[in-house]
Amino acid sequence: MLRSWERYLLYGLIAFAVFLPLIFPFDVWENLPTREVLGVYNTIENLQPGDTIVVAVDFDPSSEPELYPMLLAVLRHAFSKDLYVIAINLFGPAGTGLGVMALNDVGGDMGKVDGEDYVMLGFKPNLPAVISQLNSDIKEMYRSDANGKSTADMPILERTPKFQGNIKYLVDLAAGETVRPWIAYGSAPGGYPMGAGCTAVSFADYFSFYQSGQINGLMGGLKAAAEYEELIERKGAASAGMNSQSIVHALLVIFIIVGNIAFFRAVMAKRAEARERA
Amino acid sequence: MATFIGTWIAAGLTLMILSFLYKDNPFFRFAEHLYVGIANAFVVWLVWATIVLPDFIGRVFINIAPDPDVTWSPDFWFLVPGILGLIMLTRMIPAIEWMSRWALAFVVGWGAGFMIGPVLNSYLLAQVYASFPWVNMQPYIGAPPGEYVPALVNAIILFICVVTVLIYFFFSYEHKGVIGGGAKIGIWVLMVAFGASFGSTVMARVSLFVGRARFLVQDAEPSGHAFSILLTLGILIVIIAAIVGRRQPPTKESESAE
Repeated sequence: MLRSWERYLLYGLIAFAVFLPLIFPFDVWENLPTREVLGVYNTIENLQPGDTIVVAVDFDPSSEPELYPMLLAVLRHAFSKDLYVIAINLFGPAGTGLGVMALNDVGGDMGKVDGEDYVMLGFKPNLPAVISQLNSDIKEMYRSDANGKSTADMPILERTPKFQGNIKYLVDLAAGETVRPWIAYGSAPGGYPMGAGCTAVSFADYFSFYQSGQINGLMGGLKAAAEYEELIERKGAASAGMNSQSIVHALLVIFIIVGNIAFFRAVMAKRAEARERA
Repeated sequence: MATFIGTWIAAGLTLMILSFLYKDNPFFRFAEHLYVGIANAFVVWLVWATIVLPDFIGRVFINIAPDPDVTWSPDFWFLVPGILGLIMLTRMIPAIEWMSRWALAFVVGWGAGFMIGPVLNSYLLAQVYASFPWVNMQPYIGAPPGEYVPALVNAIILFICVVTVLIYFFFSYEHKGVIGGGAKIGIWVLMVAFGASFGSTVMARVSLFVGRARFLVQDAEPSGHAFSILLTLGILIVIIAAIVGRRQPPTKESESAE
């Protein structure tokens, strides 16, 4: 049982470890890309200018620190390759704003035009039904985009009226359980390859889909976002966050070792006391 | 100016939430209730504006299309899901509660019919198929030993793990002998999986704190004095929370949290 000052000491040390690299920026170590992250990167890298990809912004502000840097990195990569991006949100209504913000920020930076080079379609409930409909007709499902603009004559949707046969890659950035339905109702019947990004909590759950080849890349948490930033040679929020993350992890390992030493010392002291009594 | 004020309100609320680390206090309660209230109101408005209005009212009753040149005519088929959705609300009126079962029957029937095929294919058959070593080794045929051997070891470990975990959940025979041995290995495999999940969860939670910390240090104030001001504010909140917290008798929630 921790005494209250010990608890505050642990909080203080964690806070110190998190804030230190943010106030005085320094690189702890390079975020070398893993094979899973390279799967997503290489697929986008090998697409031709003019191809269309779908980026599913399936997260909301509660997962923003992990998945928003990933979204920015993927969008920067896609726009630098002159790909068209159709963004969509099927997780919850609160995620649409994040998608709009990211597309406007990155698209604006890179001279892309809303409605021509990219579009954010927004949120619709009932994920399996929406995905199935998108495979055959986007405009029937979305008569207007997330900004309220009519999709009737939108150039990007004129080029890509449906997912099946038109899109070259789908990346689902998921805070919840959306990767599974995208595989079952989108990628598998639609015949387009898929990659995913998820929170670190979900990484182990989704790894089986990567291992089975149902998705060809998997990005898990802030670490993967930092690796992607390294790959596109533009460090951002994830790389800065990983410096804090690395120090905290080292600290947690020390806590676990110290905690175990304290625990076994207490056990041995009790046994010695019992022996003395005997 | 609006962004500046909004950002500082967000920074203040973040500090109020973090003050829970000291103990339960009125600042934390205020921020928590504000968050729940605003989040719910925001989602209700979004559902109305992005789903009910365009996909029900806009399809059946009035033309709300952003483009006035597009011809509009009511599509009365949308009345069917609209009415089914409305009768779902009859659960709140005990006398006609039974009507909500029609909507539920439709949802369950449609869901089962629509989902069985894709779910079986993608979640079960594809996963079972990918568990076999000879399937996993297909991409490595002809690969140099440096790649082939580790992949083979991985494939065999994967197969053993799948089989032993399945044995652990096989309760038709007593866990003795070969079955018992397999089940024991299965438990260890599960423990390793839980450990990996827990490690990832710790990483995710730290990431969330890093995100808030980054917001406080780098985003809260563009001129570079943000952190010192925020630190002062944070210390003030904790001191006031400590004084207020000592005056109030501890609640059951705060006791359980500690």
